[in-house]
Amino acid sequence: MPEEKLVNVFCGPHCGAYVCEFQAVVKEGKVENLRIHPKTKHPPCAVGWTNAKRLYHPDRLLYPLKRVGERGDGKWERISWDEAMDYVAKGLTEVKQKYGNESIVLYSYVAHHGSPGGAADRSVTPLRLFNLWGGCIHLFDRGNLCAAAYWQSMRRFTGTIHLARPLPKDTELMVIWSSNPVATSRRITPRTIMESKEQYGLKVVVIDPQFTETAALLADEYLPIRPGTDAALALAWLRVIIAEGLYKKDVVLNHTNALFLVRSDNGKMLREKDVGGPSDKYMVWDAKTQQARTFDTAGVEPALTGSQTVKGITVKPVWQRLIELVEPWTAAKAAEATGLPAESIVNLAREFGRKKSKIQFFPIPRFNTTSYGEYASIASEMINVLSGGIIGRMVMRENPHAHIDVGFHATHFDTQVVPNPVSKKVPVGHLAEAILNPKRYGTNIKALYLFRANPVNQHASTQKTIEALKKLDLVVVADLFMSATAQYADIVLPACTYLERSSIREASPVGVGGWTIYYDLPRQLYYCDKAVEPLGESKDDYDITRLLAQKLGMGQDYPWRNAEEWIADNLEKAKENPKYPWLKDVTIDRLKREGIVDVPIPTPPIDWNMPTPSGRVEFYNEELIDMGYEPLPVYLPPRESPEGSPELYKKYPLQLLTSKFKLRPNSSYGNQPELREMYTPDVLMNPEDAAPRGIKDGDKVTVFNDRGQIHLKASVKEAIRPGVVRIYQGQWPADGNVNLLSSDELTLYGENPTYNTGLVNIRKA
Amino acid sequence: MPTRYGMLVDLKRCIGCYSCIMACKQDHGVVAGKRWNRVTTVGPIGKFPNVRMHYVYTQCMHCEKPPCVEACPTGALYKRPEDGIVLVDESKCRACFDLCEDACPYKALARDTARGKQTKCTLCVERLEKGEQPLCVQTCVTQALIFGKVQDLPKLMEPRTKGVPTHRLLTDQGTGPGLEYNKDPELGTIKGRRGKVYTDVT
Ligand code: SF4
Ligand code: SF4
Ligand code: SF4
Repeated sequence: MPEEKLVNVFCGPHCGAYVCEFQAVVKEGKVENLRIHPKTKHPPCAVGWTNAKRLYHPDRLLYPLKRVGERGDGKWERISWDEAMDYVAKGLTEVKQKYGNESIVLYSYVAHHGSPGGAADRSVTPLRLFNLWGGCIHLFDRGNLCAAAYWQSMRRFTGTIHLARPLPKDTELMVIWSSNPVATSRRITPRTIMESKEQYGLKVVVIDPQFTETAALLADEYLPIRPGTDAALALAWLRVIIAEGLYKKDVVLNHTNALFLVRSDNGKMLREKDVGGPSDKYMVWDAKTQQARTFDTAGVEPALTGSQTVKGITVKPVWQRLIELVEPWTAAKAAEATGLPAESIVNLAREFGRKKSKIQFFPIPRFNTTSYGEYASIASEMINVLSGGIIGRMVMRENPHAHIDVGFHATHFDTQVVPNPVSKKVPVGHLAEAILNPKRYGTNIKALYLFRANPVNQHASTQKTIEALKKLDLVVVADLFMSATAQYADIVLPACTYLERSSIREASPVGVGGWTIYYDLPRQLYYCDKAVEPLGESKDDYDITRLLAQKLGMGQDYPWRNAEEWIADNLEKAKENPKYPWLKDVTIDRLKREGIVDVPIPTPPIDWNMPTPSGRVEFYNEELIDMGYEPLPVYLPPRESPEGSPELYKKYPLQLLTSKFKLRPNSSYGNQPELREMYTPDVLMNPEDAAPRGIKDGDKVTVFNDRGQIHLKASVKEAIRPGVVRIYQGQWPADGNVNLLSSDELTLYGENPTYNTGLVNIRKA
Repeated sequence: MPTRYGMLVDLKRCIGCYSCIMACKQDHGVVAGKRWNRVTTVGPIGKFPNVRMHYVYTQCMHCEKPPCVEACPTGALYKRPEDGIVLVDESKCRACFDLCEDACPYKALARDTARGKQTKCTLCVERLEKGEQPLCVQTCVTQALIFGKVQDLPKLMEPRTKGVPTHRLLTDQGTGPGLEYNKDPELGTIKGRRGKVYTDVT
């Protein structure tokens, strides 16, 4: 009997969990099977179970390819790694010499979470090379594809990614807003919520235009909101909370900037120096002495309402501005905007206001990817803060993925990344825009070096991305498969699955847990040991980067001979840092042996010291004025919507949602036969929209707008609002890629594409 | 009394994630396009937004009186006397396929045409022998599946069913299925093989 070896590995394709540890059963150099990890006992999801099959997928790229026809013609020639990397190094050098480093884009994204090169370290390994070589435009640096509206608004609001949301077991009310965790965080979140419901009677309200898996399995109450109107709901909700006194006044006074005075002339906060004082301190209106004083004056009694004149300047407390802002948002008005019954809106606001223990839960809300997702994000978090939904927070590092600072990712980020000499940044979702319209970001992009990403499929406006890629001098793509993007490359490099490489990730028993409802979780390091050698001539991303470094004459900057050495060296460096005493017992051998190693980090204290300019939660953000945005959240109809574009709406009367699908982390695994046989790509529509178009359940239909068209099966079901249709994102071109229909307009300052704002029409095919 | 195994499927918990299906397929090498276990979406029932929807997990019921065994002319399909598990003795299977598949009301058989063998859920006998639970049960992300010896089941089910009687599927077929379901009878219909239908839970 050949010997059977168990290897600790993890899956991590940027799904809702980010990483799951399990074990690979290896026999004679082949992964024969997968096992649930004995330590966690947390099972992998359906996607994770197909990983062994994916490793041996018949379509795997097994050697480097060079384009011989025109871009996109699908004509390739097999070449050696040496030839491929010579070509890449020469091409990059030419672009650098002719146009400078700022014409080179490095795009290494999130399709695998293990480091080196993972999302948690913002692709340190290739970034180090490019920065040392004179810099590049790094697409990780600005915007992102799904969450930035929320992150960037939270960065201004609380200074952190988001408020940590502990879920005490006896939580009474959970509002799952604009999010479908049952499908996307299936690994453990649904079970936890179900247990709270069963054992403690937790009530769950789900707000979503689509009757999702989450609505079906968890909702005690389901509110089918119109797409993109979440801010209107939040404003009406705030109005009830304020009008009925359902907020915590001590929080408002002590932990927010709502008491500070705002100048009516320029919208800025009134500072002591504006009225002849010495300091920059914020001012409040002291009800006792009837004058403006610095907020920290002893015995001051800040007025929250009213309007005053101070040295000729009209001023109002932020709170007063907020009252005025929400005043028009009666339940009736919000009902009109959101399509929800006025009564439900008021009831929800009251219930949320009155319950002692409650939570709003939206791991990466859908409203992020609507036109003004930032306003919806801030308004909804205001509700949390005001009614006591906030308990703790997570520290935001520069690295947006390091929610849990175990020390590993921070160390290699800190020790390996040299500053990028190129200061230009392009929002990742506007790669194509920047190429086609160089003035927009003042760029002149000529070369693209891409790992772990599939922009042709996943960026909004596929046609535009294709057109843009065709304009470049050099496109290099590393992937497991001939992806929609690889088809437009000059050189395609065969990457390998994580079962064929070593990698590491900071995590917790629920994966990365950034979007989970847990706060007080043990921190852990997950290790993925190389189970088998890379198939064919495929290579680990790290090895590819190192090869390029050598070709560019920078081999000395990559002294680690392979990923494992890189990990071991970084672990040693992290252990030397007195900041991370908890790493002292962690060794590479232990990581390999145990797969998951607990890292005993004390839970950071829950406090209200916000890393914002005022040290408080910034209800009012004066910087936004300089940036040209509203300092308090407002509701604006989405750019493409019945109200936002009435003319377009006449032509395309259906609002499109591009939801995430449970069997496919974005476009990854879209070609996995075992998963693919479980579904037929479809467009979900309400019978009310289907009947007038003569469409029946199961019919073939064409979904179209001015940007393009795709063909799908119609699912005519009572599971979505009339006037709204849903197509899952991530389908490969042959299955109907929804981004042929989506618009690459970005949100305000978070700058992610507005995938969930768009209009289409449907006809029988 | 010989052991008999059974399972409670908690329909309030099944989220239709298919982890059970993929785990089973991976572990048992179930051929492409076939499954040993299934999850059927029922609904949405009602008019939007007042709708219900759930997922119904099914697999071989390891019936008390398995019609597949009766239908099998070679004795390839058999029921183990010691624990009631219904298995295929591949050495005896002559690949007639339709006879047993037509007999099974639960669409539980998964023919492997390339090998010319009928295949089906084994209840992970190899795991049971090691004192482990079947893989579908282990991998269920919401713990919707509760497995045990029939005599232990009532106790295991109690916290989930809270005294509400459980139901079985297609009891009119008289096979004595070993899986129980906890949801009230609002399931609508699930299509079985060749037009046979899972009527509402009875
Ligand atoms: S939840 Fe994510 S990381 Fe875990 S097995 Fe599934 S796809 Fe992999
Ligand atoms: S469910 Fe079908 S295959 Fe299983 S024992 Fe009953 S009749 Fe046989
Ligand atoms: S793993 Fe559990 S929750 Fe998921 S489909 Fe199977 S039975 Fe349902």
